[in-house]
Amino acid sequence: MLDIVIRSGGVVALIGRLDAAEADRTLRTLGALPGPLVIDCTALEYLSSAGLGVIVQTYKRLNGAQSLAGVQPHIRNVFMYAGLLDLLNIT
Amino acid sequence: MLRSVARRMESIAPLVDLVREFLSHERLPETMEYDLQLVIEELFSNLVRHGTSGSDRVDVSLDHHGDDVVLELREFDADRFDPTTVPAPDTRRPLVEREPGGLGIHFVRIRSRAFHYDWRGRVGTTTVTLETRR
Repeated sequence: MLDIVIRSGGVVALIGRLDAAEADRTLRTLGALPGPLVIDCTALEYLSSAGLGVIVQTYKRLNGAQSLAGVQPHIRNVFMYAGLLDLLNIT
Repeated sequence: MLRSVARRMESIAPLVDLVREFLSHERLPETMEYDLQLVIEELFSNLVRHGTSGSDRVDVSLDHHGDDVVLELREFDADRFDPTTVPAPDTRRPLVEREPGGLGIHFVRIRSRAFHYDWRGRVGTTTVTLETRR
């Protein structure tokens, strides 16, 4: 279960789990937003490879005008396993 | 602990519940939850996307033996589909050169102690062992 909250100033909060069951809907929602985007991950509890694919595709669509804030340690590990920790503007 | 689920992405939710019930029942640390959920989802979603089975049912079981948790995913009336042979992605490549796919099994390999596949009588069984003290 994932809540996607669109805030002012190009901030989008992901709340809950971004897994394979939520990936398509999330990609469509983010795909309708212009950049630059700040994805607030403070309340993102879980991310799998499917969710990571959403983040990467959105980053590419926006030509890098996307950053991730508040990434929790478990999720930071997932980016690290994928070799993406230093490539996706993770703050 | 066994859960039979339908082969579709919506079944990830009951598998999340399975992991939580199992950890609680076995009094295993909550620190295992993320790894178990990740490994189950990556294997299960792979079956949903790529598996070719005559049955809609997938059995997922978790067992605790000493310092190990053993996960099994079993599909029925299935063509052979061995996830252990999926090539490892090159995670050092620049982002623009990356192709989708392969990362999920890469995560399974990183987080597991053993990773096997068996196929006999058109039943495919993927077995993954994770350490409780990692």
